[in-house]
Amino acid sequence: MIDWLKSQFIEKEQAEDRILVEKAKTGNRDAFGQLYLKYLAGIYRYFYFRMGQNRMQAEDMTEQVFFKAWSALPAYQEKGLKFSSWLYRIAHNLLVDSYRKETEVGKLSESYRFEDKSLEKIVVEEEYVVLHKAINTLTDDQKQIILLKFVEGFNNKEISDITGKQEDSIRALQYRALVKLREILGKENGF
Amino acid sequence: MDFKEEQKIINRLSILQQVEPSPEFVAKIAGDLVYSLPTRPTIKSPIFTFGAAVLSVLFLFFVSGGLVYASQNSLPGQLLYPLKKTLETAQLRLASNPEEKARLHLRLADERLEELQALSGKQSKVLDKASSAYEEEVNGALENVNNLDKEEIVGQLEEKFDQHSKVLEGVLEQAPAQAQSSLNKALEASQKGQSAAQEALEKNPQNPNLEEHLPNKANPSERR
Repeated sequence: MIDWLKSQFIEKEQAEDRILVEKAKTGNRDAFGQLYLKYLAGIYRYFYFRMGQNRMQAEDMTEQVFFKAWSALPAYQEKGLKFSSWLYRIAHNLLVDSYRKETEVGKLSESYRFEDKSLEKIVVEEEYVVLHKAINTLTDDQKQIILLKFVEGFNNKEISDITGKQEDSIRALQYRALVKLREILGKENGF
Repeated sequence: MDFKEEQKIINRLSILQQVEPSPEFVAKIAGDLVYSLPTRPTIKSPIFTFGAAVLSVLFLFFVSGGLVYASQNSLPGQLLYPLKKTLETAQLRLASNPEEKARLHLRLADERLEELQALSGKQSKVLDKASSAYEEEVNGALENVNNLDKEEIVGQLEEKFDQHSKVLEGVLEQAPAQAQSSLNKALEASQKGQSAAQEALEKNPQNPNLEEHLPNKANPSERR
């Protein structure tokens, strides 16, 4: 039942995307704006965690994806490649181009600092710091798979579309990443 | 690693979804950047171009077809009447032999007669033009009457013009005074046509069936 509801939701989302994509292809900037805002946070996160949690760099790259996607959109054809996967593929390619320029692992970003530190937020922040450290122990490929799959919710086929990696390779990377995370998080939390 | 452990890690990772761009950055994208996107010409796919061409042809076909259809009921002095006349002229040019041409003029004479009936109460200038147009069709039908090979068509001419004369006599009885002159001209044309056709039938020595095409010839008064 949950799977059925999930698939219905995904289909509805995709249908909405198709309408906006068609409008944007004809030069409708508002439609493109709506479409991009839908995926903005995910694209931003993708860069944020892959570029040393640097907020400014993540924003800059997110902006670049925005302009690149607009110019490339007339050539986009769905044909098995969802719009969101296509967008992340642009992000991935941009990251590959610029990755070597920026390897510094940043400190905890301002974007995740809470002004009003309720107990709940303090717990979340601490959990975030733990996860942050754990994620940074992963190789770049492992990090990419973990973020796309468990943070952004893509399946293996979609991750393959985005990264160009084989699904078998994605499964292997995912397994090794989870094993590593268990080791790190187990030490931190004692499980 | 067992399934429970794996799920526990996956659940913990979901907290990373809370990392979001600042509201200022979102506002920048939604506002300034959307409107700073370069405009680009609309790219139409070949399918769209082909579809547009098909639609244009269909549109022209239906619009022009609709105009042609509408023009068929137009009267002298109306907007679509010239189109009706143009189409008739084209039909006449396409007629391949004298018989076909005579039949076509006869049909057009029918058409002109209907126009005269419709205009019999209208202003005399338009009615006079309609009367002249009727006369032209009669003359056109009679143009080769003596050279027509088929007696059937000559018989039809005689019969038709006879009917026209009767109709015009009826119209004349009810027409206002200012229409009388024009309608009389048309009546004279139809009578002339009938006489010419009758004469042609009588003169044709090689036609053994000539008499059959003159209904009630033995008693002309019964024919009327």
